[in-house]
Parts: sequence; C-alpha cells; structure tokens
Amino acid sequence: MLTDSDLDWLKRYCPNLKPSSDRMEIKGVLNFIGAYNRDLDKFQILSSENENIQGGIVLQGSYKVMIKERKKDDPTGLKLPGLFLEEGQIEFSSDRHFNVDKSACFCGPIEEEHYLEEGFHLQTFLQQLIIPFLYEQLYYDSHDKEWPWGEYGHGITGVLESYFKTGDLRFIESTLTKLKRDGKQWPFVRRLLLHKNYVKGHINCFCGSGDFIRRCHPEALQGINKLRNDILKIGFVV
Amino acid sequence: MNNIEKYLQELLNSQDLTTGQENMLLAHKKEVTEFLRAEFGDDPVIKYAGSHEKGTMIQDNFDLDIVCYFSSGDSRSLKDIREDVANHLRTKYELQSKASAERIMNLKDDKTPQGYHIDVVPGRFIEDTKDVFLHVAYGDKERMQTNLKTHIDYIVNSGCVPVIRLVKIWSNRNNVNIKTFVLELFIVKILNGSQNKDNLKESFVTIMEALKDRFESIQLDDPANTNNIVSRLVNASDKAMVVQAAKNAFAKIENTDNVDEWKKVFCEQAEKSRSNNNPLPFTPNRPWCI
Repeated sequence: MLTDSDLDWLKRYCPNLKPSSDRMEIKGVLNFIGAYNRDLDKFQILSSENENIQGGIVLQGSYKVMIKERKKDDPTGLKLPGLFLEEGQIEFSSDRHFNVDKSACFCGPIEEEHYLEEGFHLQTFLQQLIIPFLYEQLYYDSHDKEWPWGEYGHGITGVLESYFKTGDLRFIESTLTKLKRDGKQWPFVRRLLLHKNYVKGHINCFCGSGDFIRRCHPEALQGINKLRNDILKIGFVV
Repeated sequence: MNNIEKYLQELLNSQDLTTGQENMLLAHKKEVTEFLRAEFGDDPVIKYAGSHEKGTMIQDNFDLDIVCYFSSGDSRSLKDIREDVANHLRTKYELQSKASAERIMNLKDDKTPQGYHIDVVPGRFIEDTKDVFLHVAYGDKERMQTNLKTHIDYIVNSGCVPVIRLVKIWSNRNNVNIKTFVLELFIVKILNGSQNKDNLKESFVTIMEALKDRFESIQLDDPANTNNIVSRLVNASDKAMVVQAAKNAFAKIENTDNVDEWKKVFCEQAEKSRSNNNPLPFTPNRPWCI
C-alpha cells in the first residue's frame, strides 16, 4: 500500500502515525486542525504554517486510529484502505457513518472510484478523506447532531446520490455492482432502470421511511434517472 | 540577465527530462505501439502527442500521450474503433476510460513521477484531411473533430513554450487543478501580441495577473475546431481555486526583485515543505454507509 515517498511524508508530517513493517497498516494518533466555510463549501487543513485563508468554523481533534489495506475480496466491497478508530472515541453506528466492520465510511462509492483513478496516494487520502471525516464527527457532536456538509443516505440510497453528484458513464458497471449487493431491493431498482419512461417521484423511498422518494431523498431519484439515462446511452445490459 | 530571470531560467533547465526518462518514454511508446500493431497491423498512425510533442514537459509531473488514428476508409463506427482498441489494451494493461482516451495505469518504472500514466487516444481520419474524429464517451456530443498537428503547431509556434512550462511547474507544485490544454490556450491567448514573451519574469507576472482577473470569464476555443469551447471543461469551483492561487502568487511577486519571494511562489526552500503538506481549501466529501 505505502510507497517510499508515502513513508517519507508520513515520517515528516505525521510522526505519531507509525507504519507496520509490511507497509499494509498505519497505527497511532492523528492530530489535526480543520476549518469549514459553509458559504464556500470548502474545507481547509490548518497548521502553524498554513493560515486560514477562507474563514469558517475551526475545530481541533486528536484520534487514535488504524488505517489498514483492504483485501481484494473484502466483504464490504470497498477498495480504499479502511479507517478504524480505537473503541470509546465515537459510537460505531451507521448513523455516525461506520460500516458493520466498524470501518469509517468517509465518502460515497463513486467518490472512492475517483480517488483511486490516479492510484492510491497517502497524503491525499489522509488530508482529503480521513481528516475531513474526523472533523465532521467533531462538528456533529458540537453542533446538535448536524453534518457540516451533509451526508449520503445509507446503502443504495447513497449509491444513487453519489452517482447523481459525481457519476458518469465510466462508473455504470461499478455502480450496478454496488446496487446488486442489496439483494432485497435490487429487483425493484432493476425494474426502474429498465422502465421505458423517467422514474417519477411518487415511489416509496429506498431508505424505508415510507415517504415518497422525491420528498425524502430527491438526489437518489435524480441518481436513478441519470443512471437509467446513461445506461440507455451506451446500451449497457442490466 | 537579472537574478530573477536567471533563477527562472535555471528552474526551467532543471525540469528538462533526463536521458533515462526520455529513454523510458521511448520504450513505453515502443511497447504500446508494437502491442497495437500486433492486433491492428500497419493501418493506424501511432505517434506521440501531448506535451512531448509541444515541448512543454516538466520533470515534476509528466505523462505520455499516444494517438492511434485509423484511416478514413475504416468502416467501423468511432465507438467500435474505440472499443476494439480498449478491449485489446485491456488484455495486457490496467485501463481507465477517459472522455476520449484509454488510460494505461500500470506501465511504470522507477523513473516515473507520481500519477504517471499513458493515454492512448483512438480516432479516425477524415477523408483527404489531417483532421480526425474522436469518440467522446460522455458529455453532450458523441464525437469531436480535431487536429493534432494544428494543436502542436499552435503551441510550438506561439513563442510561449518556456512560460507554459513555468506555469505548469507553478500549478503542479501548488496543487492547482487545471487541465494542461486549458492552461496552454490561456497563456497563448493572453500573451498574443506581446513583444516580450522571452522575458520569463514579465510573462509569468502577466499570466498570474490574467489568471486572477480573467480566468473565470475568458472563452478559450480549440484552435483546430472553434466549435469546441475548451474553457467549458473547467467547472466553476476549479476556476475559483485557480484564481485564488494566482492571487496569492501575484501578491508575492507583483513588485519585487527579491528572488526569495519568487522561490516561495515555486515552493522552493522553506516554502516547498509547506506546500507539500498543506493543500489549498477543497470541497469535502459527504460520508456514506454501506
């Protein structure tokens, strides 16, 4: 997982994080200061050398973490290394965006593909995914259980929202693979994708709320229509 | 030559590829060419494109672009040509599909920079011209008409190659996310008519000033096909980040002959470590859960 330049960077800028000898795991304390400006929708990592050029709410955190390479057949289907926190720091629930294996779910499935496009890069991974995720957790605790820049719905709702936000034709296959993982809902989703017309908003939301999807998770509705449209465009067999 | 001009010239010289890196690119091109020829024979024209042909490569960050253009008489659709090329490359390499290119991700060695890849761009010549049609995998149009030679000539003959390389070094070291072709067209347009393109200091300051003042609104057309509005490829958020980074740079170098200030802009000495560790503000990702 870790290249020589990753190790150099880690030693220099995160000396409290130690790599294992096989380079497949990192353990230790991750300290950070971050700022989020809601108006600009921008996050910035701050340090004594890096002034806050955007304003926003500044939070400082320190977590005991383990970052671990995933196996190819990892049951979660995720590809980026897993972030695990030491017990007692944050509740490991799906509402706090932790998977059943207690790993953090720091981004949507399509965003994960985007991050892997240029190959794994530790600095980007820590600075653009891990630290913002930990900042969000601090924010959630200190701001009446509110997520600073929003969240994706669980399961296939989030898959479709993520496709709507950042997906395109390149990600049809991997998106379908993720949708099929929900064996219970997949037959219904497949019917919608094969429907001759655009999917309208008065179906029950996939999240199980019982509300119409157009009211409950409108971006998931837009996601399924975008995916359906893209599948039609290239004649992909569902 | 004043001390800043000397510094910038030395910076450019330090970014020339080594013989080992040039040989590596040559070996990669040869390998990919032979692999394509084994499947498609002598018909396609396979050659270097991109920064290698324009002379704008920098050592900090380079990749390889190869075009694979089939003759105008080829009866396959553009989509089929692209799929045939992709399917063949996939038997040997790890591929990613980009808008008009198939990107080889796993042909690397110890001389390649982080993120190195090889883009293979399939296409078909248009009868009796050097223009080509490329298949576009996503976006509004399924095909795009363009001309590789026009692109290369436009940049090579612009007189802007040295300043393009300087701006590429700046953008790479400051984590400024901007497509190289957009940057090249912008620089050529801004410096069009300038009598001092060889003056690196003056040209670089002009470009930083123009990036901060005009980058968000300027229209950049493909010189090979004015129907392609290249500036539309950059989203508003990325434009804003470029403008912010250019503002920071311009503020440092606007009226100074202090070479240390220039070194900061190029993240050298003390500033280099700062830039390596501290990214510019970015739009964060929403959390999910399986």
